[in-house]
Amino acid sequence: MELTREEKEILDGKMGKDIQYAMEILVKLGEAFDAKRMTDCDGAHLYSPGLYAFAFNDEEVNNTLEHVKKEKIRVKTLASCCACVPDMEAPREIEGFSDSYINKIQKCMEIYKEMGVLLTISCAPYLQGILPTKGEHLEYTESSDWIFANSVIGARSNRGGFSAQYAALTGKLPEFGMHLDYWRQANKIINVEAKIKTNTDVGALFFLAGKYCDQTWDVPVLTGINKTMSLEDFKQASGAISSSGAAAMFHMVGITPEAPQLQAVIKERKIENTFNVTQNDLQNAYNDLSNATTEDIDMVVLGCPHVSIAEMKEICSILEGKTIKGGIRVWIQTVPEVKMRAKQMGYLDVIERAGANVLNNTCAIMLVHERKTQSTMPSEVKTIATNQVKCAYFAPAQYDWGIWYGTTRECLDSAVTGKFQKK
Amino acid sequence: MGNLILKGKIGNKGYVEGEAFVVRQSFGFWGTVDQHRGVITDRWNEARGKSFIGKILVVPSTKGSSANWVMLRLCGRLRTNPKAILSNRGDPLIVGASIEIDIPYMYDFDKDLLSEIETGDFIKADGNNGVVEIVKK
Repeated sequence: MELTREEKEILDGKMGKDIQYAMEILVKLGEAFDAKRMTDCDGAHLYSPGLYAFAFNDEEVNNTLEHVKKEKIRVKTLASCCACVPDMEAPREIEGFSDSYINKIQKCMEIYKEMGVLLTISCAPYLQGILPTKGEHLEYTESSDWIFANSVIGARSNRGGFSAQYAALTGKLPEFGMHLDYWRQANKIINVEAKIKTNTDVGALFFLAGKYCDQTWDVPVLTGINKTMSLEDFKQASGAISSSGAAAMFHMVGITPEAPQLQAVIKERKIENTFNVTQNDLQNAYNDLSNATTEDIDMVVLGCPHVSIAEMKEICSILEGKTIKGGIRVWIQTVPEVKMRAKQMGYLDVIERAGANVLNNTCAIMLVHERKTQSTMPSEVKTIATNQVKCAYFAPAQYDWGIWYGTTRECLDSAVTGKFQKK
Repeated sequence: MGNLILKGKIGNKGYVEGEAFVVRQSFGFWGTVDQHRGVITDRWNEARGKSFIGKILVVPSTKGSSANWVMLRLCGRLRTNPKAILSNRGDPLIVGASIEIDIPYMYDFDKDLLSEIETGDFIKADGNNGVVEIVKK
């Protein structure tokens, strides 16, 4: 790789050991994928502070915090971070983590704050004003976020992990893969014959798209969709394809910014497969996603990725005047920015009066090992209903839960009656 | 007849020998793996319930979450990681994790790995030279 003088100085350790290590990994990453150079990083979305608490022991967390403070380690680019941490303001018994674990997570948050990483703690930072623009070079964690950024916005990010932290620290990222025009072209065509009408249809379709595109560097282009895609539809699509697949972006002809026509995204890259999605295929995807063996549900999980204000308004209108059946947990996972607006508009009162919990920054399917060892939720819950494919995909693998995948209304009605019924 | 030799790109260097564990469908190290047991938990994966600990993992591609990197690193800490990873397609997340836990990772081979390697084959994974030697079981 050809490095600038500044990049070489970082690599030689002139800016300190931590930044040197970050640059070493970024250079190795670039070399592995034949990057010719580094480019400036315009934004980074880092791992959840909760994942740090999961992956590192108490001593390491304490040492890192001290080290970051002492050495004044700061990010060089706009940096946010992903979900999840437990909602710190909600009654402790809802999520049920131990005090010592909460304390550990708070220290991980302190590390980020010290480094200048915004404590967004969300899988949907675009709900919080972290909205990149077309052509910006990003290093993002959270699979649904790099897909959203690449596909919906036309910003550019590879599949990022700790590389997001390293890019934030150096302000640089290796230019390969999704940063280059070639790899953004489609290699698979998905012709959608099925009628896509609802948000759950979008989820089922992109669950299939992920299954068709489960190899790194796959990029599908979808044709034949007549639905106007809302923010929530793109959120669902990004979460779904990122769960079942490996694609870092998708195109929708006439809908997403880089695919005004099919020809715009099929150029030099070889088309490896063409798939047709029939109404029957879509129905099979629905059947595949719902593996529950009983109609009796124990929990509803909404907000995977986090709930938007439009979704909060819909949830409010469904729950108005209703009461959730005793013993059933309803978690509405969101961000403080949305919860604040929901409170202002009176939605929060209605939702909480019905018996649901609106939780900031959390994620039922993360911190699973800790939830299993510290909380009663995983053992008491056997079957859940969710309106989000991402949750439907991962929850059974994480907890052995049975899943009902359905619309927001179907999920919330099931929380009121105790039984999931397909409308 | 000599052993079959495959050539691939190097994601991370290193040399190990061991038994192949072939997973025919892509999976990710977060959400569909129990890192503490080194076991695949994806309900759509035929290898569900099986462990990759100490094996040479052969998989068409890795997929899913960004936490592939941190979770493979966690497997390294817990010593539940595969000894090496060989894929048809290279994933930046696995490059990063394999560098940090120091296991060989190779991809983009001259032949399809899944057609050439079966679970139980003895593999010499030479990440220093991008060469894999397969001794059929």
